[in-house]
Amino acid sequence: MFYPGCMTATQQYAYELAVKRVFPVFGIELVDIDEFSCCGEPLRNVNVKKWLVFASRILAEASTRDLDIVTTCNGCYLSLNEARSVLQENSQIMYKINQVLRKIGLELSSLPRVKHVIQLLYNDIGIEQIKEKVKHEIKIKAATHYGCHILRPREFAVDNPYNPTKLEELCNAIGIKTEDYPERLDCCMLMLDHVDLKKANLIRAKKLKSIIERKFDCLITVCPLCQNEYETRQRAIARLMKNPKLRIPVVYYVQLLGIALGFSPEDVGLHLNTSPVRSLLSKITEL
Amino acid sequence: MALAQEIIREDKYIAELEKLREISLQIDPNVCLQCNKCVGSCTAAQVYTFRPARIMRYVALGMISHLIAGKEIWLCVQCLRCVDLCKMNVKPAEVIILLRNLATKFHELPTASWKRLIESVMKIGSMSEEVEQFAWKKTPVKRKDIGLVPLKFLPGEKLKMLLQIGEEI
Repeated sequence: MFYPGCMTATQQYAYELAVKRVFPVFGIELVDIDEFSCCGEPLRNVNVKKWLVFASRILAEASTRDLDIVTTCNGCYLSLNEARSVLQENSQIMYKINQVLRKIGLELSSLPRVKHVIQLLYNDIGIEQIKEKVKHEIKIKAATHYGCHILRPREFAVDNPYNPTKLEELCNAIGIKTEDYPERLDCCMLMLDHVDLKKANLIRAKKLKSIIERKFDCLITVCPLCQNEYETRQRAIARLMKNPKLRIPVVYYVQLLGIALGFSPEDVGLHLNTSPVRSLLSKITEL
Repeated sequence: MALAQEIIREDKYIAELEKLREISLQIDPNVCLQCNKCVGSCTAAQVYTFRPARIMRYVALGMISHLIAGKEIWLCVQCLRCVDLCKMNVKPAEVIILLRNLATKFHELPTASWKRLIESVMKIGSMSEEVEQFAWKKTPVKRKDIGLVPLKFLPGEKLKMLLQIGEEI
């Protein structure tokens, strides 16, 4: 079952569009969620009980249809996985949650696996299959950004939390050159936005500046929340720093993968990106 | 305030925290060794005098009331570096989540932005409704305009039921 999460479903349409183009190429069928609701992550901060019922409802939607879950969002990935582990370890809570779920016509008979898009690409499809399907190599140099919740805590990490390489390998597979930079594993500061937006923007500015100074062509993300922070807020960040040159294309990995597979930029939603992606398109040769 | 009163006040919070512990991940602020690894790795500590280890010590000592009345616990960005580095498996970020739960229960959310976010999730079951995006920064588009199936939100009555009976866990 494809679970986009709030951010992808209600704002970052480009991510969902790209995912829905790319996965069928590799023979993976994505089934939409029946009734959409949040994974509960924001509610965790105010009431862990509410978080647990929200997350369990998503798990139950998949479980009732005997499906596994794939999500585009780092936040959902961790939220659902942690809820899963709370339910797995505590049969009493599992019992109570099921009582709640039955009242809305759902049941958690088994716990579905929850995967992030990057796991599906790297572990299930694999670098070799991606390489085989590539039609145009994308010859750019890109900075990568993982985001926190797919790397930590360790038990749910999709890769080595201190030196992850999967996203870089996936990039290299479609011709993109990658390079390490000091802020690679930094947090996108999303949660600070609600308390101190200016400080959060200053920290993001530091990362964007470092990426521009190192002459990367773009920043590649795998999380709609991070993407929103670095792309949608980019103009505000440039204004805050009084530096109009603080602009760089920010794109999803899946968007570039789609282009490498032969889709047009609009097929993968590049026309919805708010960062200067046109400059990136002119660098992607053979298009 | 007399010391005895102060202790009683703290007892209420400690009892509440104990209850929350049962339905969250395994936290254990009492075993914190104050090695301060969490502080060294902390994203918020880079820009604030925010110290996870100090908060853990306060919680271990049962001094919770001032933590949940203040803004400090809301500075954590949940990057979870502290959770990963902690040798004693204290899970500082999760302890902070539970403190935020207490803060919301006994006080109120710290900012209008937080209130908006939480209200939205409780009311429509999502962070936001469908938001218009702009193709090539000009033409407004929503999901159906680019061939995505329209979102079917969880019906209001089911959402209400979830939120209500969820409290009984």
